[in-house]
Amino acid sequence: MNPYPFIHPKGPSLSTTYDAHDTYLLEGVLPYVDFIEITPDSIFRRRNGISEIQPDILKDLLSVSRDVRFLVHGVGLSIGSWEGFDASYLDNLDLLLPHIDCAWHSEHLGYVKVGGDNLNTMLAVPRTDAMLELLIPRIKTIQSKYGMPFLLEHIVHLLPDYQPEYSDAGFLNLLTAETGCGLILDLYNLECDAHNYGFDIESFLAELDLGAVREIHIAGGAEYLGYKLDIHSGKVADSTLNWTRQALAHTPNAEAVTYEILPEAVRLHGAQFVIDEVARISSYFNFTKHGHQNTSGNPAAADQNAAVLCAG
Amino acid sequence: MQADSSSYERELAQSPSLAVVRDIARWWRAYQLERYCLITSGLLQVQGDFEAAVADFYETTQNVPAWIEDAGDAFLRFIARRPDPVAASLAEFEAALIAARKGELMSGRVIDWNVHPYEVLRTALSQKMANEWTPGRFQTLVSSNIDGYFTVFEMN
Ligand SMILES: [Fe+2]
Repeated sequence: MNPYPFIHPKGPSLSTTYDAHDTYLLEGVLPYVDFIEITPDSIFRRRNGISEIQPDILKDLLSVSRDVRFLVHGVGLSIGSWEGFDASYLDNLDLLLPHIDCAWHSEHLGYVKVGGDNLNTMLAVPRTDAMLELLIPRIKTIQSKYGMPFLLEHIVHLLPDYQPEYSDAGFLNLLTAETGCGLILDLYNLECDAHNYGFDIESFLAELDLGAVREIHIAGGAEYLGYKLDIHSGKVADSTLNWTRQALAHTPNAEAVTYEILPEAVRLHGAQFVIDEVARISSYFNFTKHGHQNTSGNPAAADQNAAVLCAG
Repeated sequence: MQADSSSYERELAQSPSLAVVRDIARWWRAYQLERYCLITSGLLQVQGDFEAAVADFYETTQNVPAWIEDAGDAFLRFIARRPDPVAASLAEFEAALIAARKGELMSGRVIDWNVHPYEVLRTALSQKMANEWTPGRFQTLVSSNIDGYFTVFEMN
């Protein structure tokens, strides 16, 4: 029996990042995607010390809300910080979620803060019992707060592991078994680890409970001082597409394959670059757009929001 | 446990990837500040002081906020307190300009300069060092209510 209640009958759909106001990009990718990935940390701004969604981006999201569902993918939660996760990230989630039809939300299995100090990079958590004790109640708190699936994404390991008590897959398997949370499988992250220190992707996939994978991430990055970085700055390499094809054959619950690209890279390459890449990935996997009926339960609310924003 | 931790610290300190992680954080901090504080960053870059200023800011400031709007304002306050009077005036000016453009500076803010502000702005935005700036007593008034958000007064 499959323990996961989210088997997708139609197979996976394509998804891509939208984190900066660019209607040309949004309209260009729309024919190919069923999901749009948004990052609260990117689409919010601060005014007078208060966080708010950038109005032009919210307006863009609402304008396509009948056509796609949204995947909220955070970077600022810092679920692995010893002192606790950053509650202000959840405050922003509380502001965002009423506006959109969010299929699920997710975060990285890592930390970006130490003692309140911002690292400006993300580090992987130690794979230890002590860490599991910290993480499991935090995941459960988040799950019970929001009535939607919560997914965790494994991240690259640039620094040496601190006395690991579990393998990478074994640690993820324990987390998903204990909490029922889903996983994002990021094939590009795995390729970075394979390049940087010989990580064995095949063994990882063989050990991982692939039934827990609900979303797959792909991206293209860059090398620096011989290290492959998960910088999401370019085209997806053939090797990443190959790994993704193999993974899809064993991830029956994967509903979305998300092509991730940083807004900074979109500015650098231009929107057409991203649209072309989304089209190429779509045709590589033979994805078809499934289409959605808006299942947010309250499309009228979205219309109202749009009207308010347009009036403003 | 103590011995284990210190052996890990030794391993970490010797790891070549630690330098890469540090570079990523440095690059990201500089990139964000550069985009948010375009003018002040421009001047510091021309003066060859930008990277050192960013590193100094992060080393000496407790809990730099994650949001670029908050971190950027804190960076401008930091530069405004440094001994270089021109960079200090420019940082104060840019902080006021950012607030004015957001509509948050209705009452206006006056910033003193000991060189001509337009010449400093030209240097910062063109990324070309001027031979020298015209000395004198100048003030800029920055406000959300001014067309173009600021005006320059020569005080002599
Ligand atoms: Fe990812």
